[in-house]
Amino acid sequence: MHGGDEVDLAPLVDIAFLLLTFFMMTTVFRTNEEVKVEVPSSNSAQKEPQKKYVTVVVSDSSDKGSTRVVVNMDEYKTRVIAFEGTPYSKDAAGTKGIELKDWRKEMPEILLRARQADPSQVIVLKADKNAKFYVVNEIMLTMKKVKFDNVQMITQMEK
Amino acid sequence: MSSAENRGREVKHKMREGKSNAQARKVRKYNEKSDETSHVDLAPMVDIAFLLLTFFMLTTSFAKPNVFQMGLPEKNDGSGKSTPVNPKFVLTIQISKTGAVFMHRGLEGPNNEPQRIKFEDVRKQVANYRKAVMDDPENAKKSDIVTVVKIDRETKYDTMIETLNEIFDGGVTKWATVELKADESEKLAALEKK
Repeated sequence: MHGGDEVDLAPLVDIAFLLLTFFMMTTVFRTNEEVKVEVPSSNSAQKEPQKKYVTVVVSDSSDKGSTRVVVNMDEYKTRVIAFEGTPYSKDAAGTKGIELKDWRKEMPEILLRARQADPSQVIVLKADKNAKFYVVNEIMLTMKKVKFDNVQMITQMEK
Repeated sequence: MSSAENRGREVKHKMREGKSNAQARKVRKYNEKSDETSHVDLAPMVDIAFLLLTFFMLTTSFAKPNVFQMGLPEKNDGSGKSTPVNPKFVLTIQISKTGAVFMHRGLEGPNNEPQRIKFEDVRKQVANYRKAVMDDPENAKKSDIVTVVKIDRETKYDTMIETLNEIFDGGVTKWATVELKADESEKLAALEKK
């Protein structure tokens, strides 16, 4: 060893970088969502899809009429196709998702285009636990109308 | 500065600068070492490594959210496809505005009012009914019960998911969700007050 009163830091660095590499590789960054939702809990163990999905985020609708709906797709191509011709086409390149100003009117068209762009996509519904049933139901009916068969509703593990 | 002569001269130089002999020796020793091994101070690197490590540790979320998969409902105006079912094998669950659960078997009638059940009992009741239907001699084909879940428009999404979760745990495979019609909703509210 060197000076005697000095500690060799090399093994420490080894460990630190090993852990660092591990966390860097396992981390998946969630895209920042503008609408914060608290999802309900269920004891389902099925995991959310990794790719090819369309997400519809529904906010808390405790204030009447102000339900916010954000639509997003994980693939760039589908996003561009889905929002083509809408006022949101400029923002379609971003990964953040698009908040619809008038979702009742705009959503069917966008979802239909998204499904046509890639019919193998699944649809994911992330609604706030305090959302009203009729809002969620309306959205589910829209999904059905554009021929999505199953919906995956995001929940958290039961505590 | 590798010869012993040089080192000696250096110690003398340091001493002349006012350093004690021991201090001067230490300086000499240090210089000697850095010459031989070109030692790099790793401490800043460790700092950075741990900083990044902490960052990734804090931002990582291992538990991916779960999903609850279900078929999408049809619109409640008769436009969807319909399948004839024996009303005897239908279980209707109604959820009121406040999240109270009511259940009745078969067709609703004067002698078959929806019964209020506790949320905790939903699973058990559904499972019991399902078993009874499966064992019914009339049910020769062993067809599963059909569960209709009628939910008030003002009910929270949370209540809907939790109730559906209980129903699925009760073993139900054929089911549908519908929004309560206005008159049904009123009736249910009245029942709840009783």
